[in-house]
Amino acid sequence: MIAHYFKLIWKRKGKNAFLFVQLIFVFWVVFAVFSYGISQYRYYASPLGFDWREVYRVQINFKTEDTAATRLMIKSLKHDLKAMPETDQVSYSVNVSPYLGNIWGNGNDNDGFVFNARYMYADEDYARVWKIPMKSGRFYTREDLNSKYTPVVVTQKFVDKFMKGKEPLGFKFHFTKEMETEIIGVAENFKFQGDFTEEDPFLFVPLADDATDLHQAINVRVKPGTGPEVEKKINDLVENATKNNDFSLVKVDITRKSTNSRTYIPLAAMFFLAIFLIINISMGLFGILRYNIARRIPEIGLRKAVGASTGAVRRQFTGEMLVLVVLAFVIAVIFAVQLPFITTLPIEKDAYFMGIGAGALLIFVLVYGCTLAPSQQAAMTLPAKALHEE
Amino acid sequence: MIELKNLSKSYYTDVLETVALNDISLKIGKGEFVSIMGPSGCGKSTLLNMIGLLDSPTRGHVSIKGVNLENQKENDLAKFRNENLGFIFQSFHLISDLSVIDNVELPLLYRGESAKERKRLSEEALEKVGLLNRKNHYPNQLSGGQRQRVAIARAIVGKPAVVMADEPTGNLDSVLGNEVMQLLLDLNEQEKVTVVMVTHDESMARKTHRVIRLYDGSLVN
Ligand SMILES: Nc1ncnc2c1ncn2[C@@H]1O[C@H](COP(=O)(O)OP(=O)(O)O)[C@@H](O)[C@H]1O
Ligand SMILES: [Mg+2]
Repeated sequence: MIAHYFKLIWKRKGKNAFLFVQLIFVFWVVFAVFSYGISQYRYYASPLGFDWREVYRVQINFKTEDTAATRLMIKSLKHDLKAMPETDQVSYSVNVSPYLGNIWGNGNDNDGFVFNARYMYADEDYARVWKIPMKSGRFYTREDLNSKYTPVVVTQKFVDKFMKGKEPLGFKFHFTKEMETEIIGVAENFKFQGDFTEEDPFLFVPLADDATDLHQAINVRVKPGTGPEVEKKINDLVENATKNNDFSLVKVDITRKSTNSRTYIPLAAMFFLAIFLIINISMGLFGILRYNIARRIPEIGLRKAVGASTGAVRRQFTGEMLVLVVLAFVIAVIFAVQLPFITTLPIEKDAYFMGIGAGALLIFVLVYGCTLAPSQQAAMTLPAKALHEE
Repeated sequence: MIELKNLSKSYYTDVLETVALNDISLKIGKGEFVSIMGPSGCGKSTLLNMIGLLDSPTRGHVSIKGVNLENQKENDLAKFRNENLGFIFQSFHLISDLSVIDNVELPLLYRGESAKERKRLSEEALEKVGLLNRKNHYPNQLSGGQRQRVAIARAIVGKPAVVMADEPTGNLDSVLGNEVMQLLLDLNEQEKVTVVMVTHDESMARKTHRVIRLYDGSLVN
């Protein structure tokens, strides 16, 4: 029967060409949209490893030299912020922090231990401000700083990527030529670049008191239910302490939204394009099918006269359309599967292939759905009526 | 073989009822070659459609080979047609996008025959109508007479007990018409196939065993 459908399609290849080409393009568009959507969704669904709610961030630049006075001011500002009744936790860090868009990277192979990861300097309260869950060990404290080795916390991703088969806790390595470190804790995750990003291996390195130039951000977690008035209080405290207003203060929630919108706005645009194309092709299919069926009424009568059941006539039309779609799919896929071997895709390969699968499924279901009703209608035509000739 | 009892058929539009057949009773024996004649619009095609199970009667009974058929489901009728009846139409009704042999094998396709068997039987049928050498042509590459012979091959490929022909020579000139008529006569004589043929042509009708005359939906003696 498939050979029979194929013969008819082949003979009408001229008439089917436009629809065929259109189908190939639709396949490509849905492959792209689905694989991009799937990869972004998987990023989104992977755990963040911190909690951004109720966190305010001050970005600041202590221009003053590293003097005892500056150090004191930094210390007392933290103390004052912490003393506010609304405040839960306060922490200093560098400008690498969730949703900020800044990244610092470091790689090394000094001890034969090879790694290449993102990192940040943060003080001992950082994990408390961001509520970073630990997988094992603990976050560093002030006491740890007296040890010979600088205590660091790595993420599980770091362990998975660079420490296959090694026990992370107690592991010592050179972070830089000068800095010898010991892993004292493993954080579950730290997907700090945004909800729709891939999590990179990460290290938290203690922020030294005398590195005043690295005190670039103040992270303030307020208690749940705190209103927006707290923003003014934080602002005044910082302004008072630093005696200038060369800083910015924003609730992380807002930064998060704008960072995420850079992903979901194009994603939404792609989906609308895909939906538009799909509606277009559905209407095209409907039109072609109705035209075909109207033109082929005597053929339907003839098929029924020689013994075609209602189902057989319906399958004649759905079958021809599915053969056409499968052919278009084969051609679309032949090109699509080569893509990962020709260029580097902006998404993971398995997400790409899942996208091809899901996109194909959607088109098959859609085409079958569009074809079913007109085909069934055609199949109900009475043979005498279809064959009637004046 | 074929029996109609008190059969009537009306067509209904919103406002009026057209009585196409009125209380027809007739019997056609096995191996008979019957022609149906009558003026245009008198109900010949309608009668043939009733016998051929292509339409259901408004009233009355149809039986073929002793099987009562007026209340059967559509798909059962399709199966019955496929196994027992062959059809020939005035305008051939070949599928223009299918080759000659693919047109001929159509009834076998719906019977679920294997490709090999379909090919064998179709070639045999084309041989009988003298068109085996044209099996890979398309209908638009054939003359009217050849097309009708393809349609005859399609009608006989499934070895039906009855062949229905609705003005099979109506679109052909007399030479080609006679060729087609001869094929039907051979079919009836050699293979004992029952043939029911609608025709306008008295000379064609005279060659058959019996002429049924219709006038305004009723039989005339
Ligand atoms: N499908 C139909 N719907 C309405 N009227 C029809 C239909 N088929 C036939 N008729 C009417 O029934 C009558 C008999 O038609 P038909 O059997 O085709 O006549 P014939 O074949 O003898 O020329 C005519 O009046 C015709 O107009
Ligand atoms: Mg007629």
